[in-house]
Amino acid sequence: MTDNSLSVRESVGTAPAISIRGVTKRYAGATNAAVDSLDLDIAQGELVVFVGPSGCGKTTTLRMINRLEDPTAGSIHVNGTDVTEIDPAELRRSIGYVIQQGGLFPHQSVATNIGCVPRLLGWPKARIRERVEELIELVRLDPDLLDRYPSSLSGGQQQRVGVARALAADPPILLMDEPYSAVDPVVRAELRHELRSLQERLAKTIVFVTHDIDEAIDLGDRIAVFKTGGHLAQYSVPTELLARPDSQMVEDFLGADRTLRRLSLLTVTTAQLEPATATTPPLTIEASFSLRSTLDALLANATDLATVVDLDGSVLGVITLDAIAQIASGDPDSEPVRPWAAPRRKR
Amino acid sequence: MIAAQGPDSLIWWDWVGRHGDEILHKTLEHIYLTAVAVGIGLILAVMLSVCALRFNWTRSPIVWTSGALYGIPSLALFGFLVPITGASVLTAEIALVSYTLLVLVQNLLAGIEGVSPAVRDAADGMGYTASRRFISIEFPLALPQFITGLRIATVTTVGLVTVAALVGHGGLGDFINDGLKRNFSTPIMVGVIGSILLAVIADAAFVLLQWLTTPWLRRARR
Amino acid sequence: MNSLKDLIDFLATWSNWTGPNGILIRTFNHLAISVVAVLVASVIALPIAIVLGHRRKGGFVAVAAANLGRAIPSLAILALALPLSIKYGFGLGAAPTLVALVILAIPPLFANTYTGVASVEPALVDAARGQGLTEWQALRQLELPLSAPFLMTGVRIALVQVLATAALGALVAFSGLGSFIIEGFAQFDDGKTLTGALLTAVLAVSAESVLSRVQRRLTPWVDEYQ
Ligand SMILES: Nc1ncnc2c1ncn2[C@@H]1O[C@H](COP(=O)(O)OP(=O)(O)O)[C@@H](O)[C@H]1O
Ligand SMILES: [Mg+2]
Repeated sequence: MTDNSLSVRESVGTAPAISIRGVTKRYAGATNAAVDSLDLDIAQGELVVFVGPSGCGKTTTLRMINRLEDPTAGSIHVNGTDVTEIDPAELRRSIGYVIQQGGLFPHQSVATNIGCVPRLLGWPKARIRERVEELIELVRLDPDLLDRYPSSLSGGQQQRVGVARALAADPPILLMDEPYSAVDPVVRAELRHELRSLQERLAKTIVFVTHDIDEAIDLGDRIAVFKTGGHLAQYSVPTELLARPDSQMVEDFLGADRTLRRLSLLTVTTAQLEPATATTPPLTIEASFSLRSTLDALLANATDLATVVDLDGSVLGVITLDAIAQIASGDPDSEPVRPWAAPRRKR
Repeated sequence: MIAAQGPDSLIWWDWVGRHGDEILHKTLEHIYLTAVAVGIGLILAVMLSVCALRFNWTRSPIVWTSGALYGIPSLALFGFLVPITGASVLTAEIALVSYTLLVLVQNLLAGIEGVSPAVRDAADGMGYTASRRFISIEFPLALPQFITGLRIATVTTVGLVTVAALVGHGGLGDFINDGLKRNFSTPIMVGVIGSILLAVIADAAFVLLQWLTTPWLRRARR
Repeated sequence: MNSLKDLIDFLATWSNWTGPNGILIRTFNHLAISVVAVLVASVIALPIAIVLGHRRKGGFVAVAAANLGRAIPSLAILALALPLSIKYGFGLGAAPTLVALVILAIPPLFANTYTGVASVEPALVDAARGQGLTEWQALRQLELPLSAPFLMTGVRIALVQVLATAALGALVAFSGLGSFIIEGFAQFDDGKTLTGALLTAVLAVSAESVLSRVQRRLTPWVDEYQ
């Protein structure tokens, strides 16, 4: 392995990107374990969200993956290699790490910040510069910002720089610890959207920590709900989590409107559509609408029928309140569809 | 002089014993010189701070001037003063007072300006007049910072009084000066230990004062 | 006004500038001993302060150093250094002065450097480790540059204090700018006294302003950062 390559590479095949086995973490002097016999596999290319109340061990788990903390017991493998066999600094250079407000170095320009890991890896200057310019475009920042200091950027811009820095050496894995908690809700939604599309383009394995269940549902391919004491309460895809919470704790955590939330993850076409008849209902719904928006439209128009049309206007069928109710009351295996994924799917 | 210990010894205790009255007298003089300097400094600093807060344009000249005074080495300041005011108590006090100003003004301003705008707003919202607000809200909140300033000024002055021995009014510093002139270590030790003790006691006294006057800052016992 | 005339007369006499007790040599002595004292004190204080700051351990030492530096009068340190210096055969003049100046310079250097390194946000150091910086790299590339303003403040305070106290070195027969003042007092020579006072003050004030400027030049991000 040469000096300027990453120690962790994407492995071929279907082995999990990260595998956590029987991991317990007890901080010195603490009576209770921060993380308690945790078993968790994270598949290649998946965006997994750790969610749960504050203090339940999400950050600790994340930090054990890149060895900012070492487990008291158990083992962690990244792409098949036990992390304790890799030098911590080297391991971390091959795993992107993003924290709140990006954790940017205030005394370095944006460009220097982004080039941090490539510099550590000894890349030549020209290549670093080139990579930095590539990244700034990838995270949709104005190249004029490259020579500015982080403190002169907005929260959202800082966060984008943080992501660019984490991606600089093209690591296969990205760890993100509550990266958006200091950003206002509008920018937050935008950043989430961008992260999602970034992940679909780059196929990174991303572990994302948040305490916000909405953020988790919005982002995650798979969600790990932690409960106090460092236990894993449930690990499922969002729709299943919403349809079948394992325990009272998860149910409470999901909130009273979990059914509506699940409907917002499903498009109208996942429901059983009735064949269109000669007299189609006057209310029309586009196929990319979520079931929740459809329900909203039906209620607002005091009707129980609507015509579902394709983007080009051709009629696909008729959606009924009954069909939505059927989905709402069960059928957890229906595939989640996200608003931003919908256009891709059309192509 | 007959030594109780060998001539090598840094301190001859029988000398100390024989000069008990003088030591007491010089200690009191030291305290007096310090108290007068800090007292006058305090009055001036309060006036200057009020002026700086009331008339904003006077703020930087006031801070700048007290900073410049503070920056002049003590011996140099005595050097400037002696040709004018001679080797007198006045010279000593002018120098000592001028060193207290910066610390006191800075801490007064920082204390009052550090009162959170929310607290100020709340007071205004409840109908406090500006002077009422100053007396019952801003001043008490600025008190810890203010006492910190007093503490630093006092401890520094205790040390500087020793230098005033050069103009003949140095409290315990007179022992140091005397010892240096005669190359005799016993009075040096008496002056050094005495002035350090005074500084430490003054420091502790202010810590206590701060604790007593700011009950809201005490950490609640579990 | 008479004193002012004395001052001008003294400065206008060429022989007061040259010779073994002239303005030139005494200014040089004064500056040289101060710079050497700060350098020696830095070599002693900085490594310990940096290591303790990096580990965020021993904050009480920094606080104690700052308080002690204030509580011990500089004249007392100088006066203490004299009998010790004589006892151990280093004699009068430069040796006890240097010792006193070094001791005097340590507390501000130590306290400011420690505070600077220890006050770098832990989350930031953590982010640096998370990017794969080693401890040494995190110290070199992050903590030291970020604490540079504090470190420079320490150097500035130490140097200004040392320059002021070097004048008092005249009391232990060190031939610096303070000697003009002490001799002027003894000889009732206002011109000489004022010359010493003026040069000592100018030296201290210029050191302060030069170092402030250097500090700002070295840390361009500070205005925006804080
Ligand atoms: N460095 C540490 N030393 C001691 N205890 C810690 C440390 N970091 C976290 N903890 C404790 O471990 C538990 C889990 O913390 P953390 O992993 O940060 O939770 P989360 O990220 O889910 O909020 C908490 O009880 C917290 O107080
Ligand atoms: Mg956390």
